[in-house]
Parts: sequence; C-alpha cells; structure tokens
Amino acid sequence: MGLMDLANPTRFMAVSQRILPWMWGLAVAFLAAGLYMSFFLAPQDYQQGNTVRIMFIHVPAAWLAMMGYSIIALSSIGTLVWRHPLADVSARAAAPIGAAFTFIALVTGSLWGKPMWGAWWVWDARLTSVLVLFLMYLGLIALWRAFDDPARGARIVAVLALVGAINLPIIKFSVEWWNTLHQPASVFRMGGPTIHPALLWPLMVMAFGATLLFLAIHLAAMRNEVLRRRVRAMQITAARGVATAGAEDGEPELA
Amino acid sequence: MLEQFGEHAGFIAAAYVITFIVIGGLILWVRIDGKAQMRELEAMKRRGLRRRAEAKD
Repeated sequence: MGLMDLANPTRFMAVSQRILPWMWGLAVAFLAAGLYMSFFLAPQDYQQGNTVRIMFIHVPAAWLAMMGYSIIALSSIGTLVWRHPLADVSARAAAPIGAAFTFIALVTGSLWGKPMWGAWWVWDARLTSVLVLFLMYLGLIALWRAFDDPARGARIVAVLALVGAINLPIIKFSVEWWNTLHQPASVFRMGGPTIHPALLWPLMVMAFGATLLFLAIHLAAMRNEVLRRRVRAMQITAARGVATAGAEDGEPELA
Repeated sequence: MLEQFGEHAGFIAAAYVITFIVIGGLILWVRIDGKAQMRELEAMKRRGLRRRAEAKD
C-alpha cells in the first residue's frame, strides 16, 4: 500500500485505527523507560547538577515544537499543490499539539534558566524565536476557527503557515547567527554530540518516546477532524434536503 | 525522594508536573473530542442520514 492509498480518508481511518493502539503502547513504554533512566540512571551534570534532568523534557519538547510546525508546513504544500483535504486535516490537527509542546519547551526552559542563568527569561534570539513560534501556532489556530467552512479557510491558512516556516531555520541557527545566552547545538551537530553518553542515552530515549506520543496524538486528532468534517457534510446534506423539500412545498429555498 | 535532587528540586518537580498536566490535558481533550464526534455521527445515522460515499455502497 502506497502513501497515496493512505491519502484516501476512508482508508486512512481504517489504517490509523489499527496502528494507534500500538503507537500509544510504544510511546508509554519508551517514556517509562526514559523517565527511569532520567531519574535513576543518569548522573548529575558537572556544571548543571540535578537541573540537567529538566533537559530530558525540555530538549525533546523543543525538537517536537519544530517538528509540529514542519508537519504543518509540509501539509500546507499538500493543500496548495494537490488540494487534498487530508493535508489540511493533518495541518489543523498538528497545530494545538505543536503549540502545547512549544509551551512546554518555553516553561521548562524558564524553570531551568532561573537556577542556571539567574533569570526566568532573557530576550535572546533562541528564546524569542521560539516565543514567536508559539504565537504563530496560536495565530493559525485562531485563523482556522475564523472560517465556518474548513475548505475555504484551508488555502489561506496554508499560505500563512508556509510564510511562517521561515522561522524554523531562524530558530535552528539563531544560536550560531547571534550572540545568545542559550547554548549552541550539542546533539545534532557536525562532529557528533558533545554530551556524555550517560546523559545522551536518557535524552534520546525520552525524545523517541515523546516523538511517538506526538505522532499518536496527531493521528488521533486527525481522526477526530475527519469525523468532524463528516458530521458537517451530513448536516449540510440534511439542511439542503429540508430546503429543497421546503421549496417544493412553495417555501423559499435556503441558500 | 524530592530532596535527593538538591536545592533545585522544586524547579525539577515543577517542570515535570507542568509537562504531565499539559500532555495529560491534550490527550484528554483529544479523547473527549473523539467521543463527541462519534456520538454526533451515530445520532445522525440514527436519523437516517448517510454520507454520499456510504449511500453509494
């Protein structure tokens, strides 16, 4: 079965129903293992002490905040180029999840910053660009909700989402382009990670578990959105039927 | 257990508690929304309404 077969909403609903329980299960298993490693196996950092344990949720949340917007940007291309309704469903379902993970990244970063930097917040390029990402998520959610007909709003929101994708490389390279208090990349970088394996492994297990959780929530939210559109389509069909019947009885036809 | 994480234990605990609340809320919202959509769909089917794709079958 190819990717295009999955793009059929009925096929998507059938396949997603089968794989979702496995994704929930795997996410819980990896997160449980990751939490155990984070609290019972990982040592203290020589500089950060125990606050390094905040990194095991902050870093995956920050990665997934960007992944969420990448999903929206790729889905927006699907909406604009192929006008496929599932592409808009995917983008719309990803927005609140991405916003939630961005919020977690901001809050946990702040909770790490206070004891380490002595400040809850600094207006450095990395923190500010992630705050902009959070505001963009909220803006997209508000814009989607402004349209009664999801099909009409889809293309407008897709254009805006693609324009906003310029923020992703800004977030990624902000620590290199500007002088920031935020440390530079220490995992995905040329020359390999700079983190000791004793801290890197819990981080990677937590990141994998959190990614599975994100994808499971996204898939479940996509299913809800497909159902919502089915309900709406049936309501419109029913209203048209009533309107047509009314017109036949001499009543004015509803628009 | 908390005290073994030293003077910054409160910050660590707050980070994990907030994360659990946000993720838990997100999962709860998705499940409640899913159940509400299913209920709505079933109610419309009980009223005899069918989607065009189903009507063709």
